[in-house]
Parts: sequence; C-alpha cells; structure tokens
Amino acid sequence: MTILTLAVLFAGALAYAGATAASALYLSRKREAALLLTRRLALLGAGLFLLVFLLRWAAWGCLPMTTPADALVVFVILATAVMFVSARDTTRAVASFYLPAIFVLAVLCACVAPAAFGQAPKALHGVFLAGHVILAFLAYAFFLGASVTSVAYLFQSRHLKKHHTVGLFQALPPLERLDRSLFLLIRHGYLMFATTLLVGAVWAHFDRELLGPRWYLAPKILQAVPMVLFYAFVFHARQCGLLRGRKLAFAVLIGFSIMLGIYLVRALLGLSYYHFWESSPWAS
Amino acid sequence: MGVVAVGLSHHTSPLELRERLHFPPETIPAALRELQNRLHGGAAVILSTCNRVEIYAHHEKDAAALCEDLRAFIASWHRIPESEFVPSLYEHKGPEAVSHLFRVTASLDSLVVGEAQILGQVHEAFMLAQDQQSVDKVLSALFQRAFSVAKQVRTETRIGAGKVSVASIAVDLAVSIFIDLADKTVMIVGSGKMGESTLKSLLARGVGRILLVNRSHEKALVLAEELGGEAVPFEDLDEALPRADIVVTSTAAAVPLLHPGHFQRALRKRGNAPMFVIDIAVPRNVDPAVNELDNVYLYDVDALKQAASENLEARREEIDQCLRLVDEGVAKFVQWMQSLIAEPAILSISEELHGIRERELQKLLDACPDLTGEQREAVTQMTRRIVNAILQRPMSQLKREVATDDPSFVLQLVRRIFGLKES
Repeated sequence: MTILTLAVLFAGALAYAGATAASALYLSRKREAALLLTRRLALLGAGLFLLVFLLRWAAWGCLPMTTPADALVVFVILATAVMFVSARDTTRAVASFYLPAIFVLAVLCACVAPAAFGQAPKALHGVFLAGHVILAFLAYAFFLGASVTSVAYLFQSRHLKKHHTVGLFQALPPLERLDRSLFLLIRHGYLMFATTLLVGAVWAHFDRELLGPRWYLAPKILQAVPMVLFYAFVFHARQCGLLRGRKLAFAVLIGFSIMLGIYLVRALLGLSYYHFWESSPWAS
Repeated sequence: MGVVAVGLSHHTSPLELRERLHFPPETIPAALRELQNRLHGGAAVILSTCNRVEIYAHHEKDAAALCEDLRAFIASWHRIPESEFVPSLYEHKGPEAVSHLFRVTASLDSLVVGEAQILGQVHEAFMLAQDQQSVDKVLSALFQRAFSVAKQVRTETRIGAGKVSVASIAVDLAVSIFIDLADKTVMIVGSGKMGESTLKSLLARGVGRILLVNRSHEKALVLAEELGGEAVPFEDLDEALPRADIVVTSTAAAVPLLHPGHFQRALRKRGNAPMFVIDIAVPRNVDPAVNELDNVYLYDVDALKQAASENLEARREEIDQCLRLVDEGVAKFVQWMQSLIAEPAILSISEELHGIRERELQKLLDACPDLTGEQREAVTQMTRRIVNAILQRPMSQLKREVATDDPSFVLQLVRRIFGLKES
C-alpha cells in the first residue's frame, strides 16, 4: 500500500512538473493551448494527490494530516483548488503564476514522503479538531493565492508604468480585476484564519489536558497571532482604501515571505509543534 | 494549376500608381464582365484596396498566357500602357498564387501587419465576384480556404493582439486597467481633435459617464450636449478630478495644467482607486512626475507611440507561426486541386456502374410487373445506395493517389481496369 501511495504521489508531482513546464511555456510564448495544458495537468496532479490522501486515510483509518508529508499533500490540494477558483475565466492566465509555487510544495512533499509514509499519521482528536486543521490549511492556501496574485499585479502594474504593454501583459487580466481578486483572497484567508484561531483558542481553553495551560506560548501560536494581526491590518486598510494597488501587493508579498521564512526557521530549529495527539511540551 | 494572382501592392508600387490602377467598387462588376469576355470564360476576382490592386483568376489555359491576358486587361481597362506598371507588377502562378492570397487574407502582407480590415475587403471582393457569377468551383474553394486559414491565423496566434493607432491603444490600455468601462467616468480636458477621437473610441467601448472641461465653458456645454456628458467649469477641474477614472488632456496650454499634487488629492478622495491619464497634448498638459505616483498611469504621445511600435513588433514576431499555418493551408488546397484531376475518371466510372445498375434494374422491374410504385422506388433507391457505397472508398483513395503519386500513371491504370475511353 505504501509503495502504491508513493507511486501515486510521485505521479502527482510529475503532473505538477508538467503543469509548471506548460505554464512556463505559456509565460514565454503566450499560447492558449499551453495554458489549457497547464490547467489539465494541474487538475491531474490535484486528483492524484487527492488519491494519495484517500489511500493514506484508507490504510490507517484516520485523517492523514499530522505528518509534514500529509500536511503538504492537503496543502497542495487546497492550493490547487484555490487556484482553480480564483484563476478562472478572465483571470485564468494567473494560474501560470500559481504553478511554480505549488510545484515546489509538491516536490517538497515527494522528498519527505518516503520517510513519512511508512508510519501511521497520528489521529486528531475528533471532527472538531480536524475541521480546525483543514480551515487553517485553507487559510494558508488563500494567503498563498494572495501572494501569487500580488506578483501578477506587480507585473502588470510595472509594465503599465514602464509603458511596456506587449507579451504576457496582454494575456493577463486588468489591474482592477487583479486588485479585486487580491482583496477577496485576503478577505477569505483572513476570515478563515481568524476563525481557526478563535475556534482553536476556545478548544484549547476548555480542553487543557491536551495542550496544557500555557498553550498560548507555543511557537506556532506566537507566530499565528502576528500573522492574523498582519492580515487584519491589510484587510481593513484595503477595505477603507488606505492601502491599495502596488503598496498592497508589496505588503502582502513581503508579509507572506516573512511568515514563510519564520515557519521554515522554526521547522529547522525543531521549534515547530505543539502536538494535538500527545502531551504538549508546553504543558508544564 | 491554372490559378494565378496578378497585381501590385504597397510593397511594389507608389501610391500614385495604385491610385491610377484602382478599381472603384461600382466599376468592378463591369470589369469582371469585360474580363470574362476577354478570357472566354474562366473565373476571376478583383481585389482593389488603398494598398493593393490584384486580380485572382482561374482558367484552363496555361498560367503564363493567363497572366499575359490579365496584364493586357489592366492596361486596356485603365488605358495605361503596360510599360508604366509592369515593373511594379507581380505575377504568382499555381501554389505561389494560393500562398499569396492566404497571406493577404491573413493580413501578413498588409501595411499594418495583423490589421483586421483586409479580411473583410477580400470577403467583399469575393462576394462581388460571386454576384457576377465570375467564380468557379476552384476559385470558390480557394477563397473559402483563404477565409478559414485567416480565421485560424487570428485565433491560434497573437497576430491581431495589441492595437496600433493612438486612439485604439488608449482604449486598449483603459481596458487593461479597468474591468468594465460602463461604470467608469472619463474626463476630457480641452477640445483637441485627438482628444475628441480618443473620447469617441472610449464611448464606442461603452464608457459610462463623460465630464467635459474647457477654458471656454460655452464650448464645453455644446460638446456636453452633443455627447451626452456633463460640462465642468475650468476652475472646478481640481474638484472634479476625483470623479474621473480616465483623464484625457488635449489643450493648447504651453505649460502643464495638472501636477502630482492634483492627483495626490484626487487619489485620497477616491480611496486610491486607479486613474488612467492620457495626455495627447503637445506641449504636454500633465507633469510627467505624475507617473511616479502609485495607482496613476500616465501615457503621453510618445508613450502611446511606443506602445504602438511595440505592438507592431510583437505582431511581426508572430509571423513565422502564421506562415506555418499558411503553408499547411496551401498544401491542403494544392492536394485538393490535384485530386480534381481524377474527377473526369471518377465521373466516367460512376456513369459506367450506374449504367449497369440501371440496365439490371430495368430487367428486374420488367420481370416483376406486380410491384407497386412505392416498391419500385424503394428498389431503385436501394440499388443506387449499393453502387454509391461500392464507389465511395475506391474513389476517395483514387483522389488521394492522384494528389500524391504520379497522376497520369494512376489514371491510366484506373482507365484500363474499368475499360474507360481516354478523355
């Protein structure tokens, strides 16, 4: 079963590699056929990753989300779903900006999966917690989407400013559409992330056994709070027109990059986790 | 192949000569009739635009002789000695003529490569010739194929992407900033001709509201009434600016009228919603420093011209891809033309087999006098279907064989097999 799961995962990563290559072709040649191929291969990749998720679930009998490989599988699926929802119709060309980021995640997943897939994922305590984790992943996927859309916005805006309006510029959607898309992604991500934190806080408060009384000192929480505050600021600043256009795009991109950097540093230093499935190191 | 294209274009001749050889639309029917009389049949289409005068013709006679006839016709119709235009004339025969028409129709031979007008002009020329019954099966198929290749070129490449005139570029840029122009407001400062033409292009794309600002308020009122906009006194320009999503300036002012400060104030009031500024005045009406502001995109005449030349360059980069599609189209058409060689043989075989069918059918019907009319018709139809079904595959194969192999050998063989007389 593990070998089959790994094979499907690698096939999925390959599909994402193909989608990324096709998106690069689209970015350089602006051929609609390349974009169509990008979307089809991405759909295939997401389908295969979903199959991995189901195989893991079937093999171990619990929602597979607690190992880094499983978490990446879920994140890749959700990021692709966000891509398909936000980059459609007139904004479909933005999909070619999503793919490199999703491909990196898929490759990362394929690298860590062989070591992780031999073990059972730890079961989450109940549906409530599973919902909490999925919501957090979805919020991250929206934040990734916002960052990718920011790149597209900055690209369009720069080309308009420099009066260079040929090539990919012509294939991308209007600035106003990108701005609106960016705002929606920030809004959905922020609302979901805020809900996730509130739900998590309520749950941690009532179920002290699981994370201990000082759960709020866990590195993940210490990162999540500035993160939600940052997106709250960005969302409200955009809502009232204080931050818009290039500045908003830069803020979103830099904010997400900093948070991604902190996450990686935290992961490398082993300061990563409070454990939903065992006693917390922050319990005492 | 008896298809030829004879003519001259902006590549080979000066405007003065093209004017002298031009066929005004109202004279084309008479010219086509005259041409058919001269050629004693055959088919022809006359394409006459400001950039080219061309005659496409198909005739059983030799292509060189056909070209000679067309040259003589042009000279006599316009009463110009051949020596005056022959040096500028090009003559394409067979596949080159086909390729030329496909390139012309796909706008690869146009003065502004990728412009869409030529497709309509070729279509009109073809329709006019069709009305005069001066097209035959070959020319009809040739032009239909030309239209389909042109469509393919436009949809599969970006040859038509990006406009090349100042007014249309301004509209394209507006569309690349705003989702829908219907809910946008355009402010016109001044009443220059270019400004008016840009405004008309924006109106044609459905821009929602118009604000007209002019030093002469009366003039602004007149224009506002004419275009259905709102006249704003010049002194209120600063106040009205935040309402405008698109600003077009074309006044004769010697110094800039709008500075970064104007737009900073406007942006604050607009919640930093983007503004597109088109300054088509010379000297400029808008301080170039405005382009440094976030969410303001300023295009002056030079920037618009740069966009035009970039668009043109981008179109040129697509030409190789377009020519590949044209070559594919030419190859298919040439193959189809070759297959026509087999038509007389196919017709003879079909007549032969249907002759046998009819004789045998008659014998059967004579032997069965009790059959009703309906039954006789049913049997007749059935025998016809059988013969057609038997013929279909070998005849398609025969067309393919003559198009790819030595046609005379294949046709001779077929004639021998079916015992057909030499045509």
